[in-house]
Amino acid sequence: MTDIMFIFVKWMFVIGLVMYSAFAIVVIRQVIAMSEAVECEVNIIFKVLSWVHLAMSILLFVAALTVL
Amino acid sequence: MPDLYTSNTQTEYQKDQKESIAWWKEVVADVLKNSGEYKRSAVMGAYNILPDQKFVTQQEDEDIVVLLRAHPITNIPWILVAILMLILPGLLVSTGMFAATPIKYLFIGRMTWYLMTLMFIMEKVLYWFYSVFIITNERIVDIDFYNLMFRIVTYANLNHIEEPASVTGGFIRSLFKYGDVWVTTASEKPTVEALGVPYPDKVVEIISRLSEELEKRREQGK
Repeated sequence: MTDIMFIFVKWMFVIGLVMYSAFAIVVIRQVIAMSEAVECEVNIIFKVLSWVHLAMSILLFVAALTVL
Repeated sequence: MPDLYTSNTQTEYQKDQKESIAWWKEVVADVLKNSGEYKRSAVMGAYNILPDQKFVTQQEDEDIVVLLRAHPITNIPWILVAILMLILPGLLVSTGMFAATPIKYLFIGRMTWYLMTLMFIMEKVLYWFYSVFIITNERIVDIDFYNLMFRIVTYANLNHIEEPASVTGGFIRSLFKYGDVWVTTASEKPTVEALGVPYPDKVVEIISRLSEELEKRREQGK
């Protein structure tokens, strides 16, 4: 019974992180749109951060899929 | 064959434009001098005079005079929430309620939570940074981001402005010198507002002076 519950939790994590990664892509697009609205030197920092965020969400998705 | 007619329209237009740019630079310098302002960036980038930045739909002959963001102090509520979000997993684990949960689940759960916290922080910083109120030599531009998908850009020409007003009040606002600026226009959307911006009185003064100079110029028929 506990095993079934943990398998359920695992797939909840996996599905959730797939959706989260899709959201992270939307964030990148939005950061690009925002940096077009106001052009300044720090735009590049936000762009890098949004890409790091996407990389971390994909990494976590892979971790959930393999570790759990 | 000799030219029968040579048009001077183009050169006259360029000359007019150059004169107009020179006139505006002079006016902006005078307005800032009279308001006791100079090129600077203060209040952690929330109050910028003559910044070296560009914005969407900026015209070639248009210069940013003032660029404002909400005062950094307005970020305190979400910063407190973020701190709470960062310490919450540790607190919950320390109560022992996850004692029976395998470590790998706990690890992935914790990492997911921290990732969501990072997103929360990023989102708030982005709203704060990119929601700007800009005063140029021609108009007022208010760029507001309500969420990651929704942006509103409002424009008001300086010669359509009727009465700029500032609202300050309360202990915190008086202490940190920030407040709201409301600009009434003659258009369908009656007001353009900058909420929680630093030195609202100075902002209103600069808008009024620029608008006045524009009105004077129009009266002179330039």
